[in-house]
Order: sequence, then C-alpha cells, then structure tokens
Amino acid sequence: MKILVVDDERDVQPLFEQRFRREIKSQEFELKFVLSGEEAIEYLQNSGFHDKLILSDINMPGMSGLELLDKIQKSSTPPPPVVMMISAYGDEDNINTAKKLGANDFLTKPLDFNMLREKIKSLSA
Amino acid sequence: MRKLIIISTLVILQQSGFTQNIHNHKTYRDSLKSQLFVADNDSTLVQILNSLAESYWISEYDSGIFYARNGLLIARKSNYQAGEVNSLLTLSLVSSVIGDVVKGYEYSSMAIKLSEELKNERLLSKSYSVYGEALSSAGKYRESIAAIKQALNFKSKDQFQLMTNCAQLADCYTKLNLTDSANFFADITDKAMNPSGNNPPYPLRMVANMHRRLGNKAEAISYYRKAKSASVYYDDDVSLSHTYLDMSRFYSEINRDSTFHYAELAIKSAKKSRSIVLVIKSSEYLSNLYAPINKQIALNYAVESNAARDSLKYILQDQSINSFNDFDQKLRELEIQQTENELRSKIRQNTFLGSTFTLLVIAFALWRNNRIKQKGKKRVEKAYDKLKTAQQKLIHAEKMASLGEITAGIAHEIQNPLNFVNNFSDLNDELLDELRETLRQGDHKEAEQLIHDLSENEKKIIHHGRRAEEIVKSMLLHSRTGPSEKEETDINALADECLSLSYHGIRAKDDQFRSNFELISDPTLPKIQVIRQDIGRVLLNLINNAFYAAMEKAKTEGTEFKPHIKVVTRSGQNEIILSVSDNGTGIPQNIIDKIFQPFFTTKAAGEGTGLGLSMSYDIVTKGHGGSIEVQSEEGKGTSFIFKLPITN
Repeated sequence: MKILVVDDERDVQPLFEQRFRREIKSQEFELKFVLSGEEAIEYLQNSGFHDKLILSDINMPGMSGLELLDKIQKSSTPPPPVVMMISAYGDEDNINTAKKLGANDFLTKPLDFNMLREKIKSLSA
Repeated sequence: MRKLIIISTLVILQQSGFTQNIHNHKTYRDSLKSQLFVADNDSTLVQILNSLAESYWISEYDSGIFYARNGLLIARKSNYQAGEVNSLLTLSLVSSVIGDVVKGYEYSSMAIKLSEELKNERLLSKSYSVYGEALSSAGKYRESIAAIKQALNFKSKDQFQLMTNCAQLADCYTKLNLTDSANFFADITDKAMNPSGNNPPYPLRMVANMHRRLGNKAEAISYYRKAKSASVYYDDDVSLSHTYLDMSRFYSEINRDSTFHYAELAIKSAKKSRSIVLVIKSSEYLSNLYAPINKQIALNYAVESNAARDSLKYILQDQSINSFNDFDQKLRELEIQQTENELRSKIRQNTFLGSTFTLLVIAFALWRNNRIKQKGKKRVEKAYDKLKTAQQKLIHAEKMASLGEITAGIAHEIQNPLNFVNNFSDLNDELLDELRETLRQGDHKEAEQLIHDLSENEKKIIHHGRRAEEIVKSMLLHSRTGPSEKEETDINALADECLSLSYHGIRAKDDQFRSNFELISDPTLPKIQVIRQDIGRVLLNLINNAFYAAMEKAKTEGTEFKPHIKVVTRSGQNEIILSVSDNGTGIPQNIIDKIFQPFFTTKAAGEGTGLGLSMSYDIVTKGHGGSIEVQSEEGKGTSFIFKLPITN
C-alpha cells in the first residue's frame, strides 16, 4: 500500500516511520512524505493519482488540506483516490467541508496510530 | 430635627445610586410625600421631589417624570444647581427606559454641563454614568463605554458606583460580543462587592452572566440566586424580572422545565413592577420559547406583547408625558426670563455709574477676560490629565483584548508540540519493550538501532517540550504589565512566532479563511536590544491588520482572490528594517494621514479599538527611537515598514 503523507511538520516523518516500522520492513506500507499541498500535487501529477492512499493535514500554510482535497478530486480521473484528512481542528465545520469535498475519512490529532493502522489495512484488504 | 432626618435620608439616597430601589417602597414614598408639605425651603423640596422621582422612575414612568420635572422647575427657579442635576439625571433615565433615547441623551448632556460648572466631581461621575446609560439604550455601546470610563475617572466615586459602572461596562461589552472585556469588568464588579453580602441585584446579575459565559454553572446559579434574593430584599420587581429572564436563558441549555418556569416568573414580576418595557421583553421571549411547541400559547404571548407595545405608545403620547414639550417650553421661558433680568440689572447699573466709570469697566473686563483665560487653561490642563488617564486605561484594555484574540492561536500552536511530546513518549515506551525483547534474543545490531531511535525520539520530546514552553513564555510576556526592560532579541524568531500566532488566531475565529503567508528573514540579522513584548505587539498589530485587509478583500473578490501576507526582515545601516505587506483592500489616500491617530479605525463597531496603530507608532518611535511609515494603494495592498536602531 503506497501512502502519501502531507503535513508541514517535519517530525511527522520519523513518527510515522517508527510507528509503522514493521509494516515498512515487511513492505506492507510504502510511505512518502511531503511538506505542503503544492508539493503533494506535484508528486501526484508525476507519479499518478491512483494506487495510493493520501493522508493530509488540513491546517497548512499555502494550500490548505481542504484545497488539496478539492484539487485531487478535480484533477484525478474517476474513481478518485482514497483521502483521509487529519487535523487539530476536529470541529464539525471542517469535518462537513471535508466530507462534502469527497474525503473518505477524518482523523483528529493526536493520532491514534493503532486505529489508523486498522483503517489503512481495511482499505487495502 | 425632622429636617435633619429628611436630609440624612436624602444623602443616603443620593449616594446609593440610581438602580438601587428602597426597601418597602410604599412606606418610603408615603413618608416622602408627607414631608413635601412641611419642607421649609426650596432646596429641601427639590431633594424630596427628586427622591420621589428616583423611587418611581424605573417602573412607574409617569410618576417619575411628574416628580422629576417639578423638582427641575423649582431647582431652576431657586438656582439650586445640584438639585437641577439630579432632576435632569432622573429625567434622562426615565426617557431612556421608555425608548425616548434622544431626550435621555439631551438631559444627561445638560447634567454634565451643569456639573462641570459646579466642579462637583461626584455629580460629574454620576452624570457620565447616566449619559453612558442613555447611549447604551440607543445602542451606542462603544460611546457608552467611553462615557462610563469617564465616570470611573473621578476619584469621588464610591464603591457602589464603581461596582455599578463596572457592571454597566460588562453589559456593554457583552452586547458588543467582546466577551474577554465583558468578563474582565464583571470580574472587577465581583471584586468590588461587599463580601458580607447586601449587594444590589444588577451587579450580581452581571457577575452571574459572566460565569454563564465561562461555563461555570455552579457559580452562575449561585450568583443568579443572590441577584434574586437581593431583588426581593430591595422589593425591586424590575430586577427580579431581569434576573428570572437571565435564569431562564441559563437553563435553556440544561433543563427545559426550568427554562419555562423562570420565563413565566419573569413576566409575572414584570407585570407586578408595572414596567411596560419589561412586559414587552418577557412576553416576546415567552412567545419565542413556546413557538416550536405550542402555537396557541406563543400567539397569546405575542398578543400580550403587542398590547403592551400599544400602551407604551399611549404613554408616550399621553398628555401627562407629552407635556414634555410644554415642560421644555417652560424651561426655555425661564431661561429667557433670567437673561432678561440680568440684562435689565446691568443697564441700571451702567446708568448709575455713568461714563466716568468706563475705564474701570474696561479694566474689569480685561481682568475678567484674563481670569477666564486662566480658568480655561486650568480646565484644559485638567481635561488633558483626565484624557491621559483614560488613554492609559484604554491602552490596557486594548492589550487585554489583543491577548484574548491571540489566545485561540496560542491554543492551536501549543497543541502541535504537545501532540509530538505525547506521540514520541508513547513510541519510546513501545520501543523500550521491544529493546528488552531484542536483548533477550541477543540481537545486538537491532538493539543498537532501537537505542539510536530512542535517543533521537528523546531529543524530539525535549525539542517539542521547549517549543511549547517558548509559546507559553511569549504569552506571559505579552500579558505582562508595568515597566519593561530591553533585552537582546532575535527579531527573526519573534516575527516567525507572531506571524504564526496571528494566522491561527484569525483561523480560530473564521476557519474558512485561507491565506498564504511567508516570512523572508535575513539570516545575518544581529540580535538587538528591544522590549520584546512591545515589539511583538507591534508585529501582531500589523500582521493582524494585514490579515484583516486581505480577509475583507476576499469577501468581495471571491475565490479567485488569493490573500498573501509577507513579513520581511533585513539589515540596514546601523538599523534593522521590518516590513509587513498584504495584497488586501489598501488604505484610501484621504485617510492615510490619520491612521496613526488614537481611536481612528475603519473597522466595523466592535471589531477594532482604533488604538493598535497609534500604540505601535508610540512603541517604535518613542519607545525605541525608530521610525514607522506606510505605503498603500487602494485596492492593491499595504506595506508597513518600521526601522529599529541597533544599539548596544
């Protein structure tokens, strides 16, 4: 399972890599990290929108996670890729906007990695 | 002896303020009415009439007006100016309460003018309070706040008035939705209360409302109960009705039955008090409350509210009150008569003295002119001192308001590092278990890797813990009061911190708002000696304004417009140059010269104090010997550039 993680916090990378070290070792998960919405779009345009799960933070300088989600939905050929939104703003407005824009799930920080692992595995099953 | 008793009663009354009713109205009023017949001079008569007016005005408007206007006429006739002020104040209060806001404003303005002439600080303070009440009734809450703060400036105010004024301020700020400031003044109200109890209902209710807003349910209900008991103690059905209405609103989120129960009690007390305005208010509230569940009852209350509205109109048109106009005419006639008398007397005097005294008259006129000038100068100096004090208070309020605005931003900023601290700590716990297992298996290479990861994670925990600590420190620095000292400061780090705080503060208020923002910092910038929290405040003000301008433009331009805020730092010749730029609405050329003036704001009422830029200007120029300038093009954007000298 290829997973693209979009978050402007650099320490998200070591955190995810250590949390999912077993899955990475067994090549069950293949993680790619970018620091902004703009970088994410560039990466997806080069590598293709499909065959990967996108995990994106909402609150980022520049292109926000919600804008990124909108762009992904508009740029990719149907069916759009699976997108999970992550944010500290766990409020109804953001959840509703994300759902309206086509997000498949919504996670609130601090992340429960066991739950995230389950969710990812159920998507790839 | 009897006269002494009357005057003592009156002194207590006058000092007790306006909203405080007297225990057992009927006995008290009867006693005053009987004293009317034995008053042996005009001043005592005016005082009794004013006391009667004060005991009636809040509910029985027509009686209040009747006694106050008679008090005013006698006071004018006998040249008893302090009595005149009190009559005018009661007339102002009653006019405001029945919705005649123009009269409320006019009467209190006249009272201020007279009190100034009398140089009576107690009356001045009282007059500004009532003036504030009139402005508040007209919905001019910001102006009301300024007037009440003016009332607070006078030293002669007593604890009761301090408490009432702060409660009024809390009320106004609540209506402006500035909850931080409302809570701030409600808190002062609370502290000014008499600890042994016996406090009046209005301040108690304001403190209860503060606790309601803060979510302190137990305290809120305790204060509502105290306000209720005080209303009963003072036999004040008006306050009782207000308290029941607030209690009903409080219970609307908790207990449906209590919501209805207290709303019913509110209208019952309103009717008992004979306050038509309150009957309208509570029947409208009940009508809205019943609308979703019982249309018939809702309709009944709507009918009741309309009937009360009609009777208020009737009162306003009624001859007894409509004679406000005749009454004003009488006042004018009295003024004309007095002026004529003075003129006649002067003519007689001049004839008697003859032309030989002309020189003396001129000399007197010159001396008088000089004296007026001296007096005027003193008055200007005094007004200036008062203005300075008011300004200091407003600057503090501005500081507290801006702290409130950035709190939401800080909460978000602090959450991210704390998430990392928690996540890496959990992870290390897991890795330690794994390390034990690996060592048992004798896999030293894997163990080395795990120890390395543990150590790296530990560093990250320390890093993010310190990041959170820095944010808390910067918040504390921002809220610090009193003299501050210059310290060596990394301007790049400060700019980064302020940019982030401002953005998250705005996002916390409007999470749909998006904006690009960037910091272009000069890495060679030396650390400089500045008052850190002051320069931080300048940066926050300028960045908040920049986001506001961009946000305003986004409202009209739609999604095509991309807001962009840029903060740049660079080194100049023996100075550091900072600029804050936006691509927002820009500043029109006709107002660009005024933006650094105190109280100048283009923001809507309640959104800006008009002190941010003037404070920034003072901090940069007076506080740090720097300079600040603005470049702006309407519709295109604005740049603020400020320079700080590098000093040792």
